Amino acid sequence: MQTTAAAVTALIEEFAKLPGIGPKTAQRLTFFLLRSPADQTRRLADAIIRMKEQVITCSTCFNITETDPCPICASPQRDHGLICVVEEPLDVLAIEKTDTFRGVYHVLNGALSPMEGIGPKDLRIAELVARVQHSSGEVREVILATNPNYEGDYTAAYIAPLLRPLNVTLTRLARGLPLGGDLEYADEGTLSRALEGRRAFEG
Amino acid sequence: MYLESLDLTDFRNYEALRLSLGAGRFIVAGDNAQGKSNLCEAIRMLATMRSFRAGTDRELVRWGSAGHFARIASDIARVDGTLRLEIIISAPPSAEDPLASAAGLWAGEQGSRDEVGGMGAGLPPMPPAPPSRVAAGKRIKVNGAARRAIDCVGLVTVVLFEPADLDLVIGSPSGRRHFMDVTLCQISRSYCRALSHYQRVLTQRSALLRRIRDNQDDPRALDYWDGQLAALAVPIIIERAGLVTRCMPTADQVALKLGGRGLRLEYQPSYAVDAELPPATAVAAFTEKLASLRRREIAQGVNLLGPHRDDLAFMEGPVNLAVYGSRGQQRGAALALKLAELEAIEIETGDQPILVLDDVLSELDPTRRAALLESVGEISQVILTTAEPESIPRAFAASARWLNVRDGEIG
Repeated sequence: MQTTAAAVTALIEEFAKLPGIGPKTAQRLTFFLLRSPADQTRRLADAIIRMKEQVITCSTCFNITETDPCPICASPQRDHGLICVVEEPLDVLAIEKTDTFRGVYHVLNGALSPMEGIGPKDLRIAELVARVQHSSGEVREVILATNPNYEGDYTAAYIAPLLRPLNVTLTRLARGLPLGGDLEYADEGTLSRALEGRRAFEG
Repeated sequence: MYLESLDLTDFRNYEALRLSLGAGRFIVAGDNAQGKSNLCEAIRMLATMRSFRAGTDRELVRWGSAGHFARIASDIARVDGTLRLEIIISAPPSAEDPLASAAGLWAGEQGSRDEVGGMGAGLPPMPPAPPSRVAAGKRIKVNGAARRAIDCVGLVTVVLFEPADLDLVIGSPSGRRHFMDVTLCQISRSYCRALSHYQRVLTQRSALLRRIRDNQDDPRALDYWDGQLAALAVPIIIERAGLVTRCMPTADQVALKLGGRGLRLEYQPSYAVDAELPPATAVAAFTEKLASLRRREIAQGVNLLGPHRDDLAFMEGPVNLAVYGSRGQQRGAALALKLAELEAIEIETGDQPILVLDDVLSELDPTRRAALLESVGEISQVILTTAEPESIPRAFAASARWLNVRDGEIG
């Protein structure tokens, strides 16, 4: 016997597929929407559909965008000679929040991981090399800003020799202590990297 | 060092155990399947943060426990003071289980926060994971403060001797590597860290070797992993060689006492590192060796060189005991190694490990039994389990506190 309306059950099931949402949260979200005003629910539905229909990937940097090229790639204010290579669109978001980076991006769409069967062909590596090649010398520096773990390091190590012959400076993000942190709480790995990467003090 | 107390909640067959211990000798007596080895497993977990028996942590949680978690808590007296260590193992029922959401721990506290978050302008942040929902895994607390497992390995040091160890000499090489790893992890945090990174590198590298073999990847992609493998393998090999050297005198002494002609431990690394070389040179040499093996590794799709292929041999003069020793000699050598481990840990950490003897006494002949009990004389805490109380020599039995275990309860 069906005790709950099929439409409600269907929505619960859809919510439960989302990351970080268990069956209980899915139920609560569904019943919250059930009780909320119709126009609010419609706005949510529209937002989801619009996101799916209008968001595309930029054909230059492969970041998510609504216009191609994306606002960053299209902007004359940005330094197109400086490319920051990241794994995911979320990384772009993080770097943009710093408000200090004036270059452009290249989103790889992941990191190399043989274990998970992710090889160079699965990432936008060839596109990056082509982009630098076709810039006819405009690109001066490529920042390999992949994550500081084995997969991210491996990806950077894989890309570097492909770009080196193209006469660009290759850099990697510094690694070390978080700002506002205490030395005693840093893990040994981070601390030893921070020691290795120490700099002359110009205070 | 010694455990002052041991509390188990829903751990294996213990529903609620409150055990007051202290320095000295303890004999845990009881029939089979009453919980003797489970007790030893809990004590050993305090040292290694991992079970030596369970395939998954889920097995550790008592069948039918209401809270879906197990807890080990202990007050530990170390030379530098006491500390309280807690390990909480969560094993929520699977997602299909209708009871999965019954945890209800966080349902109330999130309350109306959802409405406040709303659909504001700009990209909303990623939703955080539900705060205190029971997730599978382990949480560790030291003096009430949460810590990472890897930082807690070796806060307690335990030497465990169990029946399976009697086959150390004739068993598979992985058992002997495990012996070296468990000992060194308790002594050195950097070893423990190197070993866990090494596992990760091995997994990625063997996957890459197979991808290259199947023409899905470029052999040059191995350069990065060769460097990482070498940089981790070299210190692991040096530490293992050092451990074996330090164990040698005690092992030899014990073996002589057992009536043999001594014992020589021989570390057999798959690649020998010259400890005199500067580390960078040793790593470069290891990398070069890897390069020379590259074609074979790709063909086989297997990591052929490194500590995961090491072995340890037990020699009496020129004779390899694994091949030519008697059963008694092989067991004696295993015993000698365990007692040497005890001393090696004490020398390195400045504190005596806890000795746990899980049902091994009855497996040894009277000479070896006597030698073992004689050598435990000065150890600050010895916990011995047995199903045959009468097999324990009278003097030792009289000096110990007896604990009777029956169906997950100790009286």
